[in-house]
Amino acid sequence: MIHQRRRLRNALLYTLLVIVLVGLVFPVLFMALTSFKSVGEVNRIPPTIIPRYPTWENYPFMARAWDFGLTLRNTVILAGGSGLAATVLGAMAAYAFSRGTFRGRTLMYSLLVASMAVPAMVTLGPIFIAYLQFNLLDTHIGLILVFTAGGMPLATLLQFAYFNAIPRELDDAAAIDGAGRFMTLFRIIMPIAMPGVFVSFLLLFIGGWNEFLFVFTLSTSPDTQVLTTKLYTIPPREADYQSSNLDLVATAGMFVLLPLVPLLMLTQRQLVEGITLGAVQG
Amino acid sequence: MQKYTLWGQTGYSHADIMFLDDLLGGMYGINGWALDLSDLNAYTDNADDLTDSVNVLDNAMGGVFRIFYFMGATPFFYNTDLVPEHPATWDDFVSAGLAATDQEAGVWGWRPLGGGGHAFNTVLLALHHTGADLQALDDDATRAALQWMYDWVNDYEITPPSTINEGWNEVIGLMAGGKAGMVWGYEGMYSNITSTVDTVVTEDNLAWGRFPMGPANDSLLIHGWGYSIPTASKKREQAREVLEFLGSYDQLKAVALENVMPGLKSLFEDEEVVAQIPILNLQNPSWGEITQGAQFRYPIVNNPQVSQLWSMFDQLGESILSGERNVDQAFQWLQEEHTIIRQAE
Repeated sequence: MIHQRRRLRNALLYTLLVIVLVGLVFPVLFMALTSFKSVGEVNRIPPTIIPRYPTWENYPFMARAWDFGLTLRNTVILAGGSGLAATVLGAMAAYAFSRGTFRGRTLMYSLLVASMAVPAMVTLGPIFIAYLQFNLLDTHIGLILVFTAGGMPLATLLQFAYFNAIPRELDDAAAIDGAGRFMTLFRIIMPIAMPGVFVSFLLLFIGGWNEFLFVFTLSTSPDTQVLTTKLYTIPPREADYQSSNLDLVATAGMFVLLPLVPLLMLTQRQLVEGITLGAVQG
Repeated sequence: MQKYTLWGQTGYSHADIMFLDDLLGGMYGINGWALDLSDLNAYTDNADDLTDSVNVLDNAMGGVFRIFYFMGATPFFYNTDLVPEHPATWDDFVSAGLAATDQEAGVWGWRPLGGGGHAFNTVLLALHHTGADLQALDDDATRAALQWMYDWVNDYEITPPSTINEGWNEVIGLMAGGKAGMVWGYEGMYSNITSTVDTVVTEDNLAWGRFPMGPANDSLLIHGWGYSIPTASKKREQAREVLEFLGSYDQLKAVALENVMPGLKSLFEDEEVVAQIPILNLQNPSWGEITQGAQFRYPIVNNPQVSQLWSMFDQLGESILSGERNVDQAFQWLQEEHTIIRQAE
């Protein structure tokens, strides 16, 4: 009886899991398959699932049209640079909140949390105007700055939970050995909290990789365009300048997705463990 | 559109030449964000060769704010297996739509572009055809246009309620699959339909024409792309020099030879250009006949509130085609929205 119930429960769970997986995987799979279709096939209704006349042509076409190497480099610089900067600065802020007893600490912490609720759209116009005046439009540093600022609250809160779980005696011991605040943070605390630091960086990196709105607005030339904003620059094919070429859109989607997949596959265990650990320790 | 609006509003000065469509070009011109180009040789040398619609637009704008290198239109297409004769009037159109519709088979007589950001064009077509007062939008002809669209779905039932989810690719696919009797689209739709895999609509049974005659006219809408120089440009003189080159007859022809509908009358009949653009080879009617009397997308193209008007018309189209609002509600909503937008002018 108990075995039957367990089997039934497992069957239900697996069914549910399969449904969720199909829901998650099918759009990506359909996109991948569509990227191998021609524009004539992609417009067909009802659509074909498996390409009837598969073609690789979309990939070299889009790689040339996007200057894929440059765009990928820009994306890595932006996501990596801002992820790193926000993680380091967030660690410093988190350490101050975790160990410090200064005036206005609670208020500042509250403001930090509250800042996460400010919609990005609200800040877009003022940032554009400020960047225009400071000549920061269309620069890597300008984009990294704005993403770093945007990622700081998350990086701080995430690492704050980890730092809080580390005994203060370690700080005291480091101080007795002559270490200052910075040395204690970077040589003692951060290495111990490395899973949290890593998760912080990874989440910000993924966030930066997927960001669209700010880069779209603040970037004005191909020199600083990233993969997501390039999705708005799907070129027309010769003799087909008015089409929304969904086959090319799908190929472009694969260009955005593909470089991130190996990274996530390599780090998924650390990512899940890091988030779970942070939640428990927090 | 929002990005270009932001550039115009903030005086963004790092763009010296812009490629703008009729909507964005209108916004830049009428808001004083683009230079008047009427003294350029690129304009004066080709002035006699411009289409009437461009001259009317320039007059309405009070200046020449772009040199058009592309000029397209919105023809009416039909599948002759389902609609054997071109419907000349609105009554013919409804009759043809009813005859072609087979709801159980998923075949509908009329599939306008109701989704994908195209509903605004469909509304503008209806307003132009009823002769609505495009500046006021508060007359009986405006109401008649809304009623006309509402009836497609709710009275005649020649258009499916799903039309608001049918954008460019969907309408092409449905037409190619034999699921639509009549559609409208930009001229590029012709080659897209006929080149779709497994299409049942080929050069043999895909016909085109002017729109069925409405209470006021049967004209198509024109849309175009042109070169502009923003007033904020720091390199105006260099930009003007480049534009003299880009806007010269030879360069405009070179662009047309890349299968881009040209912006000059003579190029529509140029043998080399015609050879490159299949749709210019069509006869009965010809491109010239199709586009006779065609107008730009007023009242958006000559209004400073381009973005708001575009959004208003798109919402209006979607709400009436989806049945979210009936004609009275849609008309009332239009009055309120339009009043707010006009107050901001």
